[in-house]
Amino acid sequence: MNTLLNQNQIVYSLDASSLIEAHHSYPIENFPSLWDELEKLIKSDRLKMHELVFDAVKDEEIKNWCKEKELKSYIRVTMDQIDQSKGQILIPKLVNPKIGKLLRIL
Amino acid sequence: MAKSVKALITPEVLKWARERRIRLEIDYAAKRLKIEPEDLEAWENGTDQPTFALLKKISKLYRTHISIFYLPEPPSDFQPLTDYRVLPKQDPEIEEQQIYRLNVNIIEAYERRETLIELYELLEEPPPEITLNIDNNENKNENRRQAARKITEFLEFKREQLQQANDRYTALKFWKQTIEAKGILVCQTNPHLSIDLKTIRGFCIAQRPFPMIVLNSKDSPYGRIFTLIHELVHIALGESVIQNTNFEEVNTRKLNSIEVFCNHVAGEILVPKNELLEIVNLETLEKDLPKISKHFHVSPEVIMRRLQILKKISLSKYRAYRNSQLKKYENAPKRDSGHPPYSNRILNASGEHFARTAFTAYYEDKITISELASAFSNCDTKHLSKIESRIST
Repeated sequence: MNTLLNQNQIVYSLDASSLIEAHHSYPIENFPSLWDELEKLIKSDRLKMHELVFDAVKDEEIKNWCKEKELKSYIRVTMDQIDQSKGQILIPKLVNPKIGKLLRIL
Repeated sequence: MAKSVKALITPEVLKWARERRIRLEIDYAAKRLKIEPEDLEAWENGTDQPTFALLKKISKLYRTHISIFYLPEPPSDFQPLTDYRVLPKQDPEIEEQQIYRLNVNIIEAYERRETLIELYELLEEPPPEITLNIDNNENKNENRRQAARKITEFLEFKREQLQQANDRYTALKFWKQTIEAKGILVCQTNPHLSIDLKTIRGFCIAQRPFPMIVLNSKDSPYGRIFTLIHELVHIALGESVIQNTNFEEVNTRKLNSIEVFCNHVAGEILVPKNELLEIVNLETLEKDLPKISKHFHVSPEVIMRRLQILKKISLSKYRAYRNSQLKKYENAPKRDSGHPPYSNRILNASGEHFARTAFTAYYEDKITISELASAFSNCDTKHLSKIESRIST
């Protein structure tokens, strides 16, 4: 029998741009309750980012927020926690295979 | 197991990325990665795989995204330059690092151009067509002047506009904008990976659309203006080349005829024969030289060289002048004018045409704020508004 996940069981996988966009539109210092909610999600292991994606976030204020709230160990998923055989299928879709360049984003 | 997880990459792509893309010797790459060349060799021929941690280091050194190594086969169309020149051997340590930095700058330029083409597609705009072609079949003076005339007409260059520039930086800006207005990109080397002037003054990618000129940000404004026009002649000829020559070397080292041709045509564009002869008075040349230099917005040395080429002064007089200048530079204390602001350096590196297009794509909702930041050396988004404010309208 199929069971739907209840809301507390959903785990979100974020791209770097989501955090950057979120902070751009809803800055951490102006929208504290939003970022508190994100912190809660992260600390309950329900919001994840791949290490490459997490490390691609260059915005100081976001990095400071992660540091201050000690989020890195919760949010950052390292490569050894991942099944690489899936990666091989998915990753090339991000790349222009003719010239070996990421599409749009560098 | 944790840290030792192996990366299941495509060995041929790893090899391609080093040999063809960043163009590093295996020994130099291994040294920079602090591993044995044999290890790298084993990963490149597939008998072993690097750990993921090492693959991250490799992608950083090779200046590429890690996902490239998972492509099923090496890319076939990556070909940023058709010609490639380096200086004679110097200190091998320095040379390796310089060549590495040069290669990174070439790759960045190549990828910036590709990004711009993508941005034009997103904006559904056709790239500007470039109707500039010259040939150097005959290296005769008449041919050079004709080539200079063609390029000047193509640029719709007006001396009066250049003369409104009060200083050399404004003059450089004028030339950059004049050339970019015609669909040719003008960028500068990455300030984080600066290249010595004796390695290169600049280079170009002649592919169309959007051929590209990259100037060495370490050069003086007048030095950059000359390189800019020299590379423009290369683009008009339709070839890519790295520019590492100076006036003196062209004659003494007998660099190939194309370099000589480009220097002569660039000289004629910047300092046209008729205009020069009209204002120059050989008897008061020494006193007038700074004024003439400013009139054309080129270095005094270019004026002297032009006069020598036009047979108004002797080669020995030109050489004597040049040597006295070199001595002056050697003895002069190094100027430390400080760095321009970070946002300025980013904008200079990307060029205004590219920057304007990227911001347009952002405002038209074609790219996100993080894509916009990644188009500018993946900078912190807090720099974007400053970069934008520095783009001329």
